[in-house]
Amino acid sequence: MRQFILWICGGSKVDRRYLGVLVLIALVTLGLPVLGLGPLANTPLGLDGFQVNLVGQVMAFALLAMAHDLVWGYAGYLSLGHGLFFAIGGYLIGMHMIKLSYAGETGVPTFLDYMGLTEFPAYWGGFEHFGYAFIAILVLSALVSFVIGFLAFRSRVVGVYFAILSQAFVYVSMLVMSRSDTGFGGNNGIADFQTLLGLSLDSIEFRVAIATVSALVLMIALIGLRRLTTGPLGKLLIGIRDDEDRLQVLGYETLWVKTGVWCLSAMLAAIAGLLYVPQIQVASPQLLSPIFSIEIAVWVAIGGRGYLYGAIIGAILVNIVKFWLTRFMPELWPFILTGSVLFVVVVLRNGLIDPGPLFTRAKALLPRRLKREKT
Amino acid sequence: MSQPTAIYVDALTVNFSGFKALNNLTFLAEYGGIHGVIGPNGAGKTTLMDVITGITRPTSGTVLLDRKQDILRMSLPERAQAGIGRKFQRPSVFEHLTVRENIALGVRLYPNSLFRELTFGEVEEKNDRVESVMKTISLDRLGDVLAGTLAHGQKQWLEIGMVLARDPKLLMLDEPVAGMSDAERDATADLLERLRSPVRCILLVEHDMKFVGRVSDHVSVLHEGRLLCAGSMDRVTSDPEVIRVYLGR
Amino acid sequence: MRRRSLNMPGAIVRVCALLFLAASSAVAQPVSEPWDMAQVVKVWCSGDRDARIASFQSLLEDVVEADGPARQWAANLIVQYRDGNLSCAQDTGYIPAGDQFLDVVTGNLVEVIPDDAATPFLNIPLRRALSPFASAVQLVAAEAPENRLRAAQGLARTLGDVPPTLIERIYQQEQNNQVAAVLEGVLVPALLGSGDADAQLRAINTLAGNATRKSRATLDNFLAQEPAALSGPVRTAAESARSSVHWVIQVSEAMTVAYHGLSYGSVLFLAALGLAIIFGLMGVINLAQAEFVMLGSYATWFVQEALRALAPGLLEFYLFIAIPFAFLVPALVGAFMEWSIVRHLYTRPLLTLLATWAVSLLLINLVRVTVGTQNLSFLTPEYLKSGFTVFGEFSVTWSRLLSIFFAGITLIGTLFVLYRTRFGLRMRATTQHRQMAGCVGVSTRRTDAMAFAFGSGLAGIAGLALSTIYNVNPTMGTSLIIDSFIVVVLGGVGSVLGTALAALGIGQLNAIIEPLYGAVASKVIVLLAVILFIQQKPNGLFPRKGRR
Repeated sequence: MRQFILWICGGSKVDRRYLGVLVLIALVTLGLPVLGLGPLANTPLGLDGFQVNLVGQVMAFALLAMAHDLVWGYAGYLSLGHGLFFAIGGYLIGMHMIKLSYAGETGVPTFLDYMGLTEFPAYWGGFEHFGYAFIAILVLSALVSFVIGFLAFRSRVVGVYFAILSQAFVYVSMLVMSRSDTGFGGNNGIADFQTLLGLSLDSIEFRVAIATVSALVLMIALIGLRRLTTGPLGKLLIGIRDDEDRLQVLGYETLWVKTGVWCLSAMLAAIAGLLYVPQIQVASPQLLSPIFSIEIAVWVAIGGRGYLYGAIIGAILVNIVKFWLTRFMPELWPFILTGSVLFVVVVLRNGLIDPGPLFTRAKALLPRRLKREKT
Repeated sequence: MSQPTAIYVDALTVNFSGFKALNNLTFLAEYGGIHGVIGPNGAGKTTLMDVITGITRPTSGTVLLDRKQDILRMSLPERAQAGIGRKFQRPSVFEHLTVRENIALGVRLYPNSLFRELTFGEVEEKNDRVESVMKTISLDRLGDVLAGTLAHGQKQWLEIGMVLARDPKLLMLDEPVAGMSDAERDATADLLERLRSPVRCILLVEHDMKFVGRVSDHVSVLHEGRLLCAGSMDRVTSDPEVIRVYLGR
Repeated sequence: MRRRSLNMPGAIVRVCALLFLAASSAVAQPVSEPWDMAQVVKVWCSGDRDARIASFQSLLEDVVEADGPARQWAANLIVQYRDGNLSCAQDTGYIPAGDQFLDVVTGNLVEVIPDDAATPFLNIPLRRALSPFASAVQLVAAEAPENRLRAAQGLARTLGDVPPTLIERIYQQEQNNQVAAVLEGVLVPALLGSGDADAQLRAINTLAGNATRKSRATLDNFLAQEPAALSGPVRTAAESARSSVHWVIQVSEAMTVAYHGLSYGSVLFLAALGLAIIFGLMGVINLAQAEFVMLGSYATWFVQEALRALAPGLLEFYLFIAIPFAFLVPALVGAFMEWSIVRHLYTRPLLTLLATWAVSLLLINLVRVTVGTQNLSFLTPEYLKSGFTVFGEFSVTWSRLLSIFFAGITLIGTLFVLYRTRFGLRMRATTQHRQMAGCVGVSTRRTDAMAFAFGSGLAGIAGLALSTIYNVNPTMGTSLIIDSFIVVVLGGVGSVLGTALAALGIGQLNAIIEPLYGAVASKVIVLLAVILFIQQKPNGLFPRKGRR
């Protein structure tokens, strides 16, 4: 047993916090089908369709956050454009679902009809198969991230430059996809999905299924990334983060390491998009909004970077608060978000994971007499 | 004593928008010994090392390893693979990794394939090599300490160890004893003696004249980007030009 | 346009006559007229249509040659005739003059007109034929340009039988540009269509001297005729005129593009300059910079509203009065932001990025909640409303010029502050080597705070310059921040000149591409171009010099 736990922790130490988060996700994975489909469903003790959907979305966001943490927390590159890869996954799975909706029919969706097309353009071919769509998602996200990463890393674009450049990419992509004549529904995006893998999108079975799959994928990805980052690759990433020049002069082609990690992160983000869009039933340029991409970084910052599970915690926490607030007190949300970011960044050093500085500062603020009394 | 030439620099010029850090420098160092490179500040010593490792591109000139490999065509990692190792002027270790992990990064079982290194590289062979290097640099009892917590002198040794792990042909040390106490200097001098080998050339840039005199076989004096004088320590210290420019009497 | 030389005795006579004319009530006394009045009346009182038209024509010819009073007299005559007020009797005609009647031939005033006096009948076709002549005479006679303009526009509608050559003479005498332009529009087609080679050549000459898209189109239409219709020399002249007009238009279009690029570049420069300084100094990218631009615009608006309520007399100058406010409000907010947030993070630029983003979100929402999301309206002061034509189709509007002006002043002002004041010196020292500057006694804390405030204030000025050109609302900054950052990256961090050049370059690129491919394509192309450029020169146009 101990061996197994060590293996999951990816090293020679048992990390309690990591295991705690892992167990949490495992509970979610098990709980969703039980509470969502079993006899407890729709009771106060169980989950209704709306709540299942919510949990599923948050799981997808958590995966996205973890993908982001891989690049920021480990390689040290802040990406403010991860929404791009998320959107690739989302739009492509959307294309698959559209094809399913129009299978056996001769018409085309409104957004293509609007452009004067009577048939699906050539690049839509093959999307009626889920396998094709899945592979396309992986390939396209890897390709796009490779181009961006290779260009950026080769010209030694780092730090703030890289961050803003990634913002620029996602911003421009949003502009392009918002145009109706790009062929993806313009501002409204593509919707009109009906089924996926045989289940109707509105059915409770599908909702539970996709939410459970999201949680499961998150768990597997967490274990996988954990093992990857506690192994030699992790050391290499830390080396890159600490002193890349030194590593190069030691003989490491850091360009490939960075690009490889970046592409891996992009593919994970795209998978998160694949899990997300069927749950909200629309793929729109909202996914490419620059603010959304910054929010991803905010989830990781609030949770704590460099731990993988910190990003997960951050994503879960922030999104639950956001969902709750936007339902009951929408005006308050931007201010809460602003306040949280400022608090976490200025007062805490690394998000909620390391609340240490909070206590040292609080202790410093205690009046002297009180401190002396403690001893 | 004529040993094969390890590194040969010919007519090397480095021009930083008007300021010539290296000015038509011709220089060579041979295998088997420790070659000191001295000179006043701004003479071009660190720039020479930067050019050889690949951090700075020269404006003109040639650098040949073993008198046949044109290393200016190679990328930084490729040069390391060819056998060039360098310890930087300021101690550059990976603060968040342990001593052992630092040195392990220096060992490459599969120098040409990073993928294989990451997949198959965690083996006994590597650990043995790491242990042996740690012993050479006398940090074998600090293996699991985070590099960031080491003292300044220990960091210098650790960095030497990292570079040594690859068994480089050309080992360049940029001010290895800067900021060290006398005892530490002695230890470093001993370390350098242990590193001497007929298939290795050690280039040593230093300001501490005593130290240079103690360990070097040959010395080259650089001044304003040029080679001023070369030879044994005695010869060089009695050269009038060198005295005027550097030793200052 | 020819000027008549002054003839002293004649002038005195004319002046007296004018005064006399002015004194009498809407009746022109006969003056020395260069035409045979009796003959004219005879024909006018006859029924012969062609004779009457011929008479109008010759009267017009005479009028063109005549002097002021005679012209006025003729104009009045024609109007009276057209309105049916001329009574014909006994080889003379009478027009009303106050309570009396004026004999147009003799110039005598009579109490009553003979009983057999009859008004010659003007049927509709004749009235239509007369109307252009009346306009033409009015054209030479009327003192006020508005009246002449109306007459010219009347002619533009119907030229009728008025000979183009006469119009040409009138055109040459016309001093007012507006009237002359209308006349040209009448003249040129008439001459071109006349079939007379000389007339056509004259028309082509006029067109050649007036390089507008309209004249190019006229020439194109003219040249599109049957080859046989045009004689050799005429065709050659027309072709050469067309190519010279075309060249002028192309040049002026290029100048317009350059001008638009300059004005957009000025706005970019103002927005990016503060960013460049702060980034160069502290390695901090202030994502709230665009919101400081917004604050500057809002401050300007508040000044406008305050002036409107408290000192409406000064309202016209609100843009200038607002300058200190547009600078100070963002500067103070920036200083506070630096003190409370940024200074804790100066070693961690990535976190600073997120923190400043949070502040930008805060500012947007604060403004949204307090003022509202609607676009603010700014009045355009009188002195900014018009423009002037510089060359061909290229005209300069004052409001765009204002943003260029602001950019220029800011550039000079910033260079002055950076290179000629102690504060600037401290800023540059801290940028180049922070620790060393601290060692020689520069308070890096204070320098940071003041530089941050300075950079934020500059953004406010950008907001002021933008207010009359772009939409002002809480989210106006979002597209600006990325553009500004690209300018900073391109120009080289911390370099004022680099920022200026980069802003200019990107502004021009944008001005060239946007009309051709649209705004989105232009943003994409600019981004790709900058990325490619960065591959070659990773540190921008003016990188910081020195060894690594």
